Amino acid sequence: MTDCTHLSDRMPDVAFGRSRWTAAEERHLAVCADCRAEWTIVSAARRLGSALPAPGDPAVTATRVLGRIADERTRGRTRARVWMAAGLAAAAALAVIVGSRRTSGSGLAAGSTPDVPVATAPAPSRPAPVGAAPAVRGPVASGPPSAASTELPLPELDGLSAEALDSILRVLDEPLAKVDPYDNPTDPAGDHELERALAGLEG
Amino acid sequence: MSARTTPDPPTDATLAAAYRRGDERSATELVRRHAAAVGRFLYSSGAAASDVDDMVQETFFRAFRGLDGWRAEASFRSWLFTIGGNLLRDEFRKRKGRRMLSLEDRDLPDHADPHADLAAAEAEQRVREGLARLPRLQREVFLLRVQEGSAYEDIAAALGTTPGAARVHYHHAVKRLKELVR
Repeated sequence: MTDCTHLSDRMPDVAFGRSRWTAAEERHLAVCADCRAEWTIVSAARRLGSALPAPGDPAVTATRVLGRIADERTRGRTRARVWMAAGLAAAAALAVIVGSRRTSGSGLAAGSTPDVPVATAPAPSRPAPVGAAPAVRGPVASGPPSAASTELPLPELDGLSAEALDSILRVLDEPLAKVDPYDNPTDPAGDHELERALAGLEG
Repeated sequence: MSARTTPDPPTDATLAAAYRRGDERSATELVRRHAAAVGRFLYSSGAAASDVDDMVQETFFRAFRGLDGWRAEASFRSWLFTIGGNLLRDEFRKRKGRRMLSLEDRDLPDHADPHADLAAAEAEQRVREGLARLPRLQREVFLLRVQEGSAYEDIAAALGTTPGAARVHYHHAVKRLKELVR
């Protein structure tokens, strides 16, 4: 290792105060302009910022920082609650759609009403719009859906009876494959159902 | 007679773990230990003196929020410096590439030998301007080595490089500074 390389590697430790120049190193510095220039840079860099005002009270800085973190966490929790509510609403809407598709699966034409009330999911307590079948149905899915039945209006959840709401919750609790075989690509029975449904849609 | 020994102060890792468990005094102690060094690093890297306090606070905010990201392979201070470096880069981009360095940030002499102090202050200012023109990795390696006396192993762990590469970056920085400061 040359003297210059050796000195260069030692400079940070000397500048930092962890070490001191040896007599031999001082002699080298006295005759080597390149090393002196480097030492000027390293020692100046070491001093940089020493004239800055002392930082404020660390307790104040920490309080501000931790206050910001607490605020951010509170905002995060609020956002999570909003998203959870939105998710529940979407799930409820999905359940209603699933119920509607099952209605169409029973082979009812648009505008007709069921002959037999569905025990597992009573119709909304408020009258259904004219021309629409009740949207919430039990797990009946035997026939292909008709094109018209996919346009059923969605009832408002607050218009549903307690039994209807319970029925939606039961449907939500069921595994997806049982809810709707169309949505399970690995279920051969579902494939068969889908083929039939497509055939029905295409007339 | 048994000699009383003062318990060793808690390490940064111990304080960080205590903060994770909800002890806010540990966070205050970490700020007390490192705020001044972070401020000097930011200033040396080109932050305006008037911005340093806010940037120190922002650095600690990012650090405490992302404390799980500190693996303790690098020292806590080196890790803070890398966060401060990211913050400077963000500020630099926000200001569309304009340097933050300003002439009024010059360290003015305030000692007995005005000529020597003036020369030292001018050298510092030139070095600071030179540092602002270095690639980020070179600048951070140089400052960690010179201002903190960090070993190349610690620098490498903090900056995600190898000790050998850190040494090369350091010597590149010195060479470039010699050209810029001349």
